[in-house]
Amino acid sequence: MGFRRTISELRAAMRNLFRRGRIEQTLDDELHAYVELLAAEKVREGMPRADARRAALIESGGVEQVKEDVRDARAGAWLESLARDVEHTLRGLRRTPGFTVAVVATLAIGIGLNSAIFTLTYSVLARPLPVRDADRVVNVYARLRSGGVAGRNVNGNPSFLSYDEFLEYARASSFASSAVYHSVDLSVADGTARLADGELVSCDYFRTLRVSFALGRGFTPEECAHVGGAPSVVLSHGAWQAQYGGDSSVVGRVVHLNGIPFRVVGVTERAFDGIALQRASIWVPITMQIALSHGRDSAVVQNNLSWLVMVARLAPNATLEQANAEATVIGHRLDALASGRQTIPSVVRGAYVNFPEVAGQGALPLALIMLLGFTIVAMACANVVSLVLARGLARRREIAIRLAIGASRAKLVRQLVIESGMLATLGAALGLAFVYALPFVVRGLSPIANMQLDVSPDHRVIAYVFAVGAAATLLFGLAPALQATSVDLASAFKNVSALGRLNVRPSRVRAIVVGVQMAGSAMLLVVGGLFLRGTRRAVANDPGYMTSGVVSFSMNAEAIGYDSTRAASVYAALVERIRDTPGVASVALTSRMPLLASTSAGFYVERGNGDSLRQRASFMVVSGTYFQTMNMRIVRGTTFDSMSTHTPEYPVIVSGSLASATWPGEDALGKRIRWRGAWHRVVGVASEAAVSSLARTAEPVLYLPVVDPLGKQIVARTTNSPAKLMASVPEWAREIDPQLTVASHRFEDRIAMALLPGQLVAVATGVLGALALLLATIGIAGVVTFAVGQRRHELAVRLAIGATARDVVMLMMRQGAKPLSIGAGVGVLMAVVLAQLARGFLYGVSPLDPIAYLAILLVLASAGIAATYVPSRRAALIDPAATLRDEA
Amino acid sequence: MTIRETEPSKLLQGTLDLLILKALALGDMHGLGISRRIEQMTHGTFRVKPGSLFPALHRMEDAGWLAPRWGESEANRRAKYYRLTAAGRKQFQTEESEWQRVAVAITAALRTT
Repeated sequence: MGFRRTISELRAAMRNLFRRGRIEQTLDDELHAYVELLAAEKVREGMPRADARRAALIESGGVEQVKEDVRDARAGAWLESLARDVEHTLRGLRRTPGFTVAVVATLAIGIGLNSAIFTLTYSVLARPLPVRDADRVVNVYARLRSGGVAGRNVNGNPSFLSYDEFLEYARASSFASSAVYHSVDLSVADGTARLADGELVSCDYFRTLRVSFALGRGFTPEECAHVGGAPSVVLSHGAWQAQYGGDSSVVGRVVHLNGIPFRVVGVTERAFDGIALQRASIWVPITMQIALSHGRDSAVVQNNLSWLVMVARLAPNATLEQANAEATVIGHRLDALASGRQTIPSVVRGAYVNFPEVAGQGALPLALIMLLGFTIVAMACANVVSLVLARGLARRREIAIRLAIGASRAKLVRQLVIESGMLATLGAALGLAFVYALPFVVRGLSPIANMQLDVSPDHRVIAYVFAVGAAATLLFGLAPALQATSVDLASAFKNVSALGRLNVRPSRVRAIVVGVQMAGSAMLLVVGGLFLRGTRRAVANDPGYMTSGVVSFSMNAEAIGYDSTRAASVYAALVERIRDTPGVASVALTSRMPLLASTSAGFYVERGNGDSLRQRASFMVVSGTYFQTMNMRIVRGTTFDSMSTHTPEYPVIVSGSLASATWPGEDALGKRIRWRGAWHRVVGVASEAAVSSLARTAEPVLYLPVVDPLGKQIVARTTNSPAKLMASVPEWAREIDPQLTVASHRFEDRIAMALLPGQLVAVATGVLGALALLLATIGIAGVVTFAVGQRRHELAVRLAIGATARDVVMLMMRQGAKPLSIGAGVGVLMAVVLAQLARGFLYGVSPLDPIAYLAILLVLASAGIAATYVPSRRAALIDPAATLRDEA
Repeated sequence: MTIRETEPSKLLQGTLDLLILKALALGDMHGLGISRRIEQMTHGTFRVKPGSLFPALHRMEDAGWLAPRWGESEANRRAKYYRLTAAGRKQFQTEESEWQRVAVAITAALRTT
């Protein structure tokens, strides 16, 4: 019975909601029939027809009122009234398209940017890995307390494991299975040579990640039982399609990796590209590591090396806490074997980037990013509040009328909140479009080629966007709603001057909003200004070398097993061919390009009095033509001879900074430097160059001559189009040896990439800050206008007793100055803190750079003065006599 | 006495439904007819005004107790007639016995000295 009634009411509610037009019509007919019947009754009782109808209407108590009561009684009445409110709101918003568009656009930008920041951080730090049952997958890290770090070698992150350590942790019963991986570039030769993103993995890698195979299988335990085991390889689905055209006979085929034959045993399913940020296309057993490096690198048997990322699948009933406890016990056991070592193992939910440092040192930049994100939303909300408040004043009369004819305050507040909610929902929906566009943006800007970071929104991101929307509704919706309904009916109906006697809360709220906007805009503008100065400086600074027309080529000779002699002949042939190309000014070899990697080293220098001094400098290994190629100069002495074998004593070249810091007032030529156990003589002093950062145009640099070309890059400067050269060199290398692959890079592109983040921040913060400033000035103008109206009477008295026009204008301007200056002050302080944290992006511009701060303060002050002066001037136009007469 | 204006007491809230069900149990009727029939049945004690009658009718219709139809009234005017459904009849029985129980109990309570 109760159930049937509920069903019947639900059906009725739907009918009432969706067939409202017809139902309203029926109700209207029914009530009119009632009145007619009542009138007919009265006529029968002897009343004249005209009177009867009137009496019947009166007795019915007003048809409209009855209708309203029926509507309230009907099933789904609240739903229906909600629908009516929504309809009403939509009509209202359509009537003021300018306001609606401004609010929705502001919210969309605010919510969109904030959500984009959230999505990026979430995708990198917390999103489950792209594998089956990812919620059971964990990463295992082992951080070393400071004491044990000294002798430890690190390749990647200090929390990574060595292979032996992994084998110990893998024994934990909390793990159903576990594995390690390490990314490595592999030279693949199967007809044509190419470089592939490979991974060295332990045997259980595929089983742990529950990867299935399109063809063949993963590695068997025998294949990785001992170092140098079976040369087997698994290909990704993508590599199989691209390189083998999806040929199913690929399993069993032999491919050469780094020149060593491997047998293909399997092809993974389509969706799997490894679990590192960079997509992998080929997997080999970790036990083949030494062989793949041609015996040069024995990482897999080194015990004190951090280089492997461990991933494990929790056993069916195991918890993260159990796993952590067990890992700690194993860590202690390992510590017992090495004196003075203290390991802090941690087992964390699987994600792309989740090593302990992210939780520790990384927390600060993260908090910074989130803070920026929330500032953006708060600014958007403040902007919307000021828009809504401005409209609230305009709607004061409308609301007063509706209150007067009997609408309840609760109903009005509900309607205003519905309006805010709808605006926020529209804003959030548009903001979501930002988030959906994010994958394309990221793909366009990504510094990592082949990045598989999934930044498409999932249910958590969508929930987040709407949560931010809801929070925004509360932030900007409630205050104006309360303000708008606390209307004093009597004065609202009078004219504007009567507004002066209203409670002052609205103007207080507006002053606070203006202060917040000012703070936000000051902060954003200062940060934006600093970043802009930073990037401008980075671009404008003369790095001391040429960037345009400079191209670098890196080769895989080392990976495919070339020895120094063989490499030397290949390099010589390529260098000669490049040099003979028309337009090429100079060619050289170098260990690295400036700015793109940083290596520094400590060494001893010989002083005049015979003692030695410890020095530290960036160092580069370059051939003699490097300086000419980069358009640098040898200030004193000579450059290196052409590639030739050197005795244990090398000639070295120092930068001017290094020379003057080491031998002040002396000639550096002929001085000696102790480097890796031997003394070397300074033969030249090079012009200054920015090697480690564009922030420093002069820094100590030590240049060593190239002894072994293996692993070096070829760098060339050309006056013709670099594109042709970049395409030709790989061809020439292939002609020498089909297994040789060459990657070409335009130096300018790589520098631009390094500058991009700073430029993006500068533009984003600058635009938002300017927007906030614009709204703050409009807001303050409103506050002052309001105040002039409010204090009209007082101002008239002041003028009457002798105050000059200038006095009253100043008086009013001071009123506006308070929220502005407090806001700007707070904003600048926040900027100081933020800038300290963002120091790394400022390219040597001080976080307290006076020019940026003064310029922004000047902008803020002039905007503030203009925004308060214009409305304050109206105070001077008050006619005391007329005003006082009116008010009396 | 009118229910809407004086709102005698919360006790009488359910009475309107019961009276409407009773009125319709005697035969299909339109709004004004129901109102008049209740007046007759209660010897003029309850005069149901449209402001309470129609909300009640629509609520009961949504609950599935009444079924409407349009018909010709005695004066050849179109009017919306209400008919008790099976569910409505059952509801009437339940409410009637409930009312009897309460009435007996209250009467007994008032008689105690």
